[in-house]
Amino acid sequence: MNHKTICKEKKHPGGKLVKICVNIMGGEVQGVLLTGDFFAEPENAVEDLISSLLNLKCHLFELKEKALGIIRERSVKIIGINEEDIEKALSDILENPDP
Amino acid sequence: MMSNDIRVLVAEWPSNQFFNLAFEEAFYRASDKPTMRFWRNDKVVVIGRLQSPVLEVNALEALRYGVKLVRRFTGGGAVYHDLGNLNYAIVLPYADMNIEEAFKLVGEVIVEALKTLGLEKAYYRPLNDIEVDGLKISGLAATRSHDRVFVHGAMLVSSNIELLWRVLKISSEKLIDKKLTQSRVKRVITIREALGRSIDPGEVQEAITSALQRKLGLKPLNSDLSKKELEQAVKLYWEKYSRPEWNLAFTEELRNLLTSEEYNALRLISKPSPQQDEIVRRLEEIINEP
Repeated sequence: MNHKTICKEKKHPGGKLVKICVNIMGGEVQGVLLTGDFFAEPENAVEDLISSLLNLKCHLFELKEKALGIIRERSVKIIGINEEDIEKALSDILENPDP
Repeated sequence: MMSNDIRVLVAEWPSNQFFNLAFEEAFYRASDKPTMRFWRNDKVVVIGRLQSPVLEVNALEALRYGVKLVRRFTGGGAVYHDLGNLNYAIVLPYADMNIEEAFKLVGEVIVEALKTLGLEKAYYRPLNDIEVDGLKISGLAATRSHDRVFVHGAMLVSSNIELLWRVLKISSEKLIDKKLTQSRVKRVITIREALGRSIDPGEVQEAITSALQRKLGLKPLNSDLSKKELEQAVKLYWEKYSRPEWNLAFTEELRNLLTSEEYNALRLISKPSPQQDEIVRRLEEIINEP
């Protein structure tokens, strides 16, 4: 089955860079990787957040809602990026789902 | 040590970049009093804790030029180190200080140091950059725990900027804060270029410790590394910094973005050589001497 990885990045002026990559197989999300040059605390909580996103499996149309839901439910202080940056990167992926 | 002193140590293993980063974490964890470290690395890309090597490093170029890859324990972006780069790290026992405040405090110390070297146009740019006339000269990263803050940075003294651009992948989004010159983007500058003269890393080190004393009232006291720091660093080297599980985290997830040559190059540059492991074994012998 066709497996592709799509990455998009966002940065607001003066902010840090967020890079989001989504693995997609046959129209299904097979994991989301959140990386970038931002800072986060507490350290363990951000690692839990990243692994929860990596384990996210859903339909492509649910991607934004599910990924943002995981981020909102974790009490991680992310320094340098905001939710809007993440939302925009996810929207870019949905609008231009080509690697 | 008096309460208004700061312990200053020069502890470096430039030919083992993996051990240098292991010591950095050991140093942070062991320091419950104001402490500063200066150190240099030979050619290496140091990525931030939350970055994927796949998206940050041109692995084939790095392999070709003998540039290694190590992940550090703090967030922030990828940087290129060589012997023309001076690294500084500072631990302060300020339990109530947040990361943003720590960046500002250390950023202003570094700016003060650059001004005394003659770079009047240096300024701190939040969140974590020091710039001269719109060009980055030093970048900071930080973390904190319940009783201390830790800030470290890389200062471009006389680094090979051409090689820096070869081995780092540059994001187009990152350029929005930077200035364009003649259709080419110039984003960084070394102290040597900014001053128009050659400069020794020792001179920069001296300027930073003097600025620390003036801005924070902390008197520098030269010190050796402790056995505790060394023991912890050796442990961190074998268990973490020499291992692909740490350096190549977030790689397998993006495996299909890499050719097999790029993937193999990443594996090679992120692994210490037998000679590098030997350096650490010799340190272990020193620790174990009666």
